[in-house]
Amino acid sequence: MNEKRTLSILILDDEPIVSKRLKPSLEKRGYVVETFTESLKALKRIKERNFDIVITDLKMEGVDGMEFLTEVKKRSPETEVIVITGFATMETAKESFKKGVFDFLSKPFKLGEITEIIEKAEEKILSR
Amino acid sequence: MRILTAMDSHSYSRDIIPDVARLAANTWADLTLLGVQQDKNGPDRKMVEAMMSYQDELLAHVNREETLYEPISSADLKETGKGTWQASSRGRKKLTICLRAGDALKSILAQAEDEESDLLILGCTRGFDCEWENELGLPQKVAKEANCSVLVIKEQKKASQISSFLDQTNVSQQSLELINQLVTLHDAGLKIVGLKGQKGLIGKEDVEKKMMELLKYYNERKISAWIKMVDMENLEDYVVTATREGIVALWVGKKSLLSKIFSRDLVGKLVSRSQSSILILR
Amino acid sequence: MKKALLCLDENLASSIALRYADCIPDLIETDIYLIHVEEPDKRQQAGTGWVRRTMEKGIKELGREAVQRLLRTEKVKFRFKGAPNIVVGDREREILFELKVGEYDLYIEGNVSTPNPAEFFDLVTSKLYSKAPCPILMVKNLAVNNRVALLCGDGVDHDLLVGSFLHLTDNRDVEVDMVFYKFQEKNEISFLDRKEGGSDLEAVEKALLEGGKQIKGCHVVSGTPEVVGDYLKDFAFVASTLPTRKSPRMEVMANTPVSLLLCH
Repeated sequence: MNEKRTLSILILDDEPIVSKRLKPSLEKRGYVVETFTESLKALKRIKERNFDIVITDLKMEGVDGMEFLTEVKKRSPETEVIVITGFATMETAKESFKKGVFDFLSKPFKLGEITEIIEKAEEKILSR
Repeated sequence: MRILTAMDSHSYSRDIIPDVARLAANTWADLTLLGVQQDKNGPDRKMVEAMMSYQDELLAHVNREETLYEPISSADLKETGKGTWQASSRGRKKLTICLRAGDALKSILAQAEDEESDLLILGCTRGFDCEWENELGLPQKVAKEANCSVLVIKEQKKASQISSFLDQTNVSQQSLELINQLVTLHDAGLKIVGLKGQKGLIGKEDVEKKMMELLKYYNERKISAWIKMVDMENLEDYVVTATREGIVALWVGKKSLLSKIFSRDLVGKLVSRSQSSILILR
Repeated sequence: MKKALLCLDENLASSIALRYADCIPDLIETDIYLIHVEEPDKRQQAGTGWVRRTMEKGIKELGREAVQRLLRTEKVKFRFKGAPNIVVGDREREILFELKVGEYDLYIEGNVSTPNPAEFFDLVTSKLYSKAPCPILMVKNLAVNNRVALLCGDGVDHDLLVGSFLHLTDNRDVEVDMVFYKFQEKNEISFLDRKEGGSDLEAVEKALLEGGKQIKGCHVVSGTPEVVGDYLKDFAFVASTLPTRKSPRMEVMANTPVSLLLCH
């Protein structure tokens, strides 16, 4: 019998409230979730292991989200990256897609909206 | 982010399309165009034509550089409930066209509730009126009763600043994020406006603390923000001045003291006095 | 190194002034000392000798706690000089006394009042402002950049303004704009020809350049005090001389949401 693979998710957002809201809900759905509010710490973590899905904010102190997602895709092209941003512009969205992100979501968003995107990313990952 | 745009067949609804398009194109939001009509027997031909023409105009703006939304054909409209016809397309983001028959206010609020919209946008007539044809005080009622934030656009204008009134401490994370998007979109600054009555600041120390929190929040995010105090007696003049430069916003909470102080409802008053756009933040 | 005195109370104005301190090193090379004045009410002023001393000690302790609470809440990065000085007495008198005996170069306090010109006039002509032995930095908001403006025209003693400004900002690479204001009953700002600023503007420019300052812009602006006050909002502070009479320039200063350096 095929057992469903447990997917790993890394969330990086400098506003703790984002991870606080997402983590319990995603864990309830069976994902293994790690959260970070500092991009340098998240960067260190992705050097230690790959994640199936990475959810990252764009505007952050230190390493910004665009650099972070570039690094993620460089290390693990299979990882699906979802960008969430509070300061969206057409340019940042286009640049994100150029770098191969799975989807781009502006804040504010409802939990249902991001879980829908995660589910689609999951489908893509599991169909490989 | 989910944006709901409520429209009828009059010119003020068409006039908001460039603003809606700019917001959608920058935020890559899921977008619904809602048309309200009287006839409950089926999609009103005139309304369908208007919605299709709104869609064409919107897509011409939004899809200029990137195909964000796929077009919807009028033939795709299917009855999804009593007096509701809807069709969606899946491009990079979801576009929905929906028609609802019946009371306009109830239809708009029901759609916003069903979709869990983050922002509801509607236009209205210009000047010191703010109306929809044959729907007395509709924009004011929507602004007052919706569960989500509401942007009423009176006149298309580049906003150089957003003046947001704070009279209570109920400020949601969603409302902060919505302001972030709007200041980014307009490259505008933000004024956090406190109101002073005869007994000092409305909301006293609690509001002072919240003003400081907000100032810090935006300052840390490199958003130009200023605290500004306004005398209650000069409020209406200030609103008129502020709308010349941009968007007037109001953080609405259940404990909004202003609405108790004013003899007329504050939201309605701001919506009426504002000459460009007013944003009700929830 | 200059010496500045920052007066704190437990309110929004002081919170802003405290946080503004983080940007001061970019503008003025100064140590900042803290003071808090507790004003006892009439009942607390009653009594003499031991009774009064005990009462004052209690009031002082409350004041100290209030300042500590404020410092804890604001978590300012700036390192203030020494422990906050907590004093019991009349606010104006105690601050003036400290400014004189401490030979400070600058007095700083927060202000979040409305743009009401009468209220602003009362403040700038108060005993504290008019008798202060040094310039006053009235902090109204946080600084959004390091650029400052010199507000000229309309009764400004330009020699005094430039002299005080240069004294405070020497050793600092501050970018300066000169703004010459002319009143006009018009709800939008107009930018006039530079020559409208006359010889005063040239003299200010010359003195600033001699003082080693970079002049980023020179604007002769007109409009109502409301629109010109708002136009100034992107500066870290606006320097001008302390108004001694009601005037359109004073109203600009009352209306602007930006901090003011008042020289006299």
